[in-house]
Amino acid sequence: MKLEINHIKKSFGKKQVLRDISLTAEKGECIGILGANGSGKSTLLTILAGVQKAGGGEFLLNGENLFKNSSLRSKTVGYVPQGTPLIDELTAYDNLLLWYSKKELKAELENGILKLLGINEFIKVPVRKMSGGMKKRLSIGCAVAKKPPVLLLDEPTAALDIACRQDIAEYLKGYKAAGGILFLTTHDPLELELCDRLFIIKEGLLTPFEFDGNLQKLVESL
Amino acid sequence: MRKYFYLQLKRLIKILPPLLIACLVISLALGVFLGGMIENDKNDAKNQKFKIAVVGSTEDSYLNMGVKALETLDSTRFAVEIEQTDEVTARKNLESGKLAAYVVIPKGFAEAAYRGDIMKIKYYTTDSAVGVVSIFKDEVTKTISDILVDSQKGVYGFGDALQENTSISNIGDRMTALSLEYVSLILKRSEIYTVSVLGVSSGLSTAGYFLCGILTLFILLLGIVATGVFIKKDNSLCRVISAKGGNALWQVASEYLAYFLLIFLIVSLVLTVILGFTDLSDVIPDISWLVLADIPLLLIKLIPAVALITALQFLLFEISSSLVSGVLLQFLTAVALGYISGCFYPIYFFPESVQKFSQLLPSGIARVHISNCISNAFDNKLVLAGAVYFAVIMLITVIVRRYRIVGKE
Amino acid sequence: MGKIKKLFLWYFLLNKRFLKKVGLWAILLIIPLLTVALNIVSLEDNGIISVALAAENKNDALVSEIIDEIRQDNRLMRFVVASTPAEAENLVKDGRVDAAWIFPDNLAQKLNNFVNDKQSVIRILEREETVPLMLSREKLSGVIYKNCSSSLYIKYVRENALELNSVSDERLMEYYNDIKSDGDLFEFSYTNEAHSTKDARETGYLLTPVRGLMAIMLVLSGLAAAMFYTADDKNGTFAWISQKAKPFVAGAFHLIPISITALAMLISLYLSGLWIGFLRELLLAFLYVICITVFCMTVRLICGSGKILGAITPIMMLLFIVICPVFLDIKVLRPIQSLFPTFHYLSAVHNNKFIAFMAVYAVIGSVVYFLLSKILHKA
Repeated sequence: MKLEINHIKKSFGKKQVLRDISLTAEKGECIGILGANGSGKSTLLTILAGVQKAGGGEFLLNGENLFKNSSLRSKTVGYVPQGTPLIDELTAYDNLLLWYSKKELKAELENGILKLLGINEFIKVPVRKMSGGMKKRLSIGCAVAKKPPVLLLDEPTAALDIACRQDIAEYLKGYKAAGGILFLTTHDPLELELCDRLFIIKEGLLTPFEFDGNLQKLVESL
Repeated sequence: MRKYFYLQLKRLIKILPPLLIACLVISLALGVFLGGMIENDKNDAKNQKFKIAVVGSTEDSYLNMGVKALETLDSTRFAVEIEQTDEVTARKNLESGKLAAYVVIPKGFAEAAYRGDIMKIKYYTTDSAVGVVSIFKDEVTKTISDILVDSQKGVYGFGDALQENTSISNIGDRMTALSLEYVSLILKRSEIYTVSVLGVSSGLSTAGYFLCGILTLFILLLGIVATGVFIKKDNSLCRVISAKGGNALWQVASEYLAYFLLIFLIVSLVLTVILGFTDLSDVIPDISWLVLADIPLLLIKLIPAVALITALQFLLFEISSSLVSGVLLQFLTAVALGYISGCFYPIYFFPESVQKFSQLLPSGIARVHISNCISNAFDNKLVLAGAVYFAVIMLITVIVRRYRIVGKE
Repeated sequence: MGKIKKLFLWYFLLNKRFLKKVGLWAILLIIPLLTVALNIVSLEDNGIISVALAAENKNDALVSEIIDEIRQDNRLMRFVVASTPAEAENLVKDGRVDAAWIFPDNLAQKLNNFVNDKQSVIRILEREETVPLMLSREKLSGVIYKNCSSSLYIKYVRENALELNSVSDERLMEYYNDIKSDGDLFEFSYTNEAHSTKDARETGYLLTPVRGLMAIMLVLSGLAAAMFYTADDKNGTFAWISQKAKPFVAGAFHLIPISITALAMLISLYLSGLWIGFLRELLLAFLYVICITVFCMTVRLICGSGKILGAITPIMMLLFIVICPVFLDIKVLRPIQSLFPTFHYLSAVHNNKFIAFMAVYAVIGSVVYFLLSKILHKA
């Protein structure tokens, strides 16, 4: 499986947020996108997810342009945004019903992704009563409903405690090992360790970055 | 997106109990308001509408007689109850709301009147007008003044004529005799016209009008109770659904439909209880044709009005970013639209320009449609206008949703 | 001095903060807009009831004169002149007017005859019998009476004062018309004697709910402040303030937007013509602001969360509109009205007793608030 992002552009009015974004990814790879606040990381993910239209460029999966094939894109790309894409008043079970059939849901809770994420511990809890970690795990559980080969995550462990972050990191490792491609935007050192390749978005351009554990060097590059 | 719609419904059902409690409170408050409006306007000899006390009338027998005549013989006795009392009691009763007003006839009024001097009578009321009495005080008191002045002209003109042209000594008695003729004329003044009540053959009675106005206001206010549920602070879910193929139109349609069904259910419940299980036809004759079996059809006919108002409310949810601004926006819009559309005051109180403007508002269209449904008329053009309005509002809502989905965080 | 400077700085910053809130601006703008709009609207031709006037003979001079007189100086009734009695009747049947007054041919003669035989002269058609229509007929009576009065005078003199046979009718009418009288028999007043009749008389009916509506807006601004405070408290804005100081900070937080709205209200009252004097308005506004602040703070304490407060706010506003004498004065609700500061404010406009009640309300409300905050361990 091969993923290609070619020359993606995006402007908001006169401001060009993304100038020329290109990269490739193979099966089982995790790509980390870093950048200062407002550099366009989240914008890139929303474009790849299909929430926004790009100003130009291609998004190819095995040669198929996902920008032109929305139904294939919605099946192959999972998206976990920064906020809480859940219905507050309903339980975890009800929220999952939006993305899974009842049969699928039962199977995944018993012995699948949702069990791995530990969602059956709080399956009947209403979202408004959940902790941040539970909500994030549930959001991921919703995003991976159709087992998409590509998963986009926007700062998945922001504002979570260390234990939660480790749990999510573990899950993502498993996802990668199973052959999925991960794109994540991050500031977190734990997540940086997860990434096979890192890129920095700066002034609308993507630059590869080698992280050797030196945070000072990372900060200076942003 | 059926699943999304189903989940929206489920979500609303979960919050139905507190919503119903809120709706009950609103219904009760509006019910009291409606009762007050109808009572204010009712004409019933058994329920005399307002009481006015007369203070100081017992000092003179003629004055006393005059007041008694007003109480028992004058045509205003069907609208006004007059009681004679002292000033302390009158003031106390005015402040406690038992009286609409009281008048104080100053000491020496009668003697001064005999001499041809009219002293001022003080008319006390509570506050700037709420209620028919206060509103009409100028008209009625001007009429009383005019009548007394014209009568005075006759009586004193006669006196002057006798004085200048005769040498009789009992001019006072002759003037008194003419005064009595004038009193008789005053008491019979209502016989100068005949009143024929044609009945309400087209359109609504006043009580029916008030019912429709309050019902419109009720639906307008229902938007507020759902604000906490529909205000979106986080656009993440919209974006995820959009990523999965559920575009803005689908999202809005699913959420709106669930909201509309909720509001329609509440309106149906309230109307069924009020119209089906209580007998208000004495008070509101326009609903005398309604029996329980007619209510489902009536509710179906009301759908356009409910749809129009709920569409507007949904748009307001969409453009609000926080709970506080959402609540304020819903409330201010409901009250402002309700006022201009004739829910607080009948629309005919306002000038033609405002009446015409009100017909262009969604709340004005809704109110007229509800009136048509109650009076069993049906205006297709109005329904079409409402449908166009609905489409425009929903289009704007979809555009706003689209902006939320693609806009920056 | 440093502390006072800091206080002023906080006052300024809080003001600045609130003036950035769209919600508060919505309330501030609606107050003058409402006043201006109603002022403009009240100048146009409007009326609580509408009456069609028609003559059987359009050329009858007296009828024309009477119609002109009826149409003068109307603030409550709207008059429409119909070209024929049939048209007037149709207007009533269609519900486009509430009543029709139809004047016969040869009105002068018929009014003369009325004095003798009391046969009705004018036809009135109505859709339904209502109190406003009954009272509106007094206007007709007043206008017609003048003619009847002079007819009665002449008739009586001719029948009962033979000594005046030598005096011509014209001369008799001169005696009649020479009697000048100040037409205003009544002097209007409120129970508070400080107010002149001007205040009691001139408020058009469309403007009468304006003060009440503005007072309600003040309550709304107070409840909005309560919601903002709850949100800020949840976000930890007041985490650094000591428990002892918190009630006062909460008070200041609520007081500021309410005061800003009160200022807008005062300006609007002045522009609307409802102004009752600088000192009195200021005193009432001051006391009312304190009462509202205390009321809203107590409601916030009882509700606890922003969501409940948000849900309760519109219901509370509706209760204020219904229970307080804004559009209607529903007298059976008197016992409950005392719980609402708006009732005391509106009553205090023309009755000094309620000024004292507002002061008492503020004191009792403050005590209740402090006790509640101690019991609930909140501020």
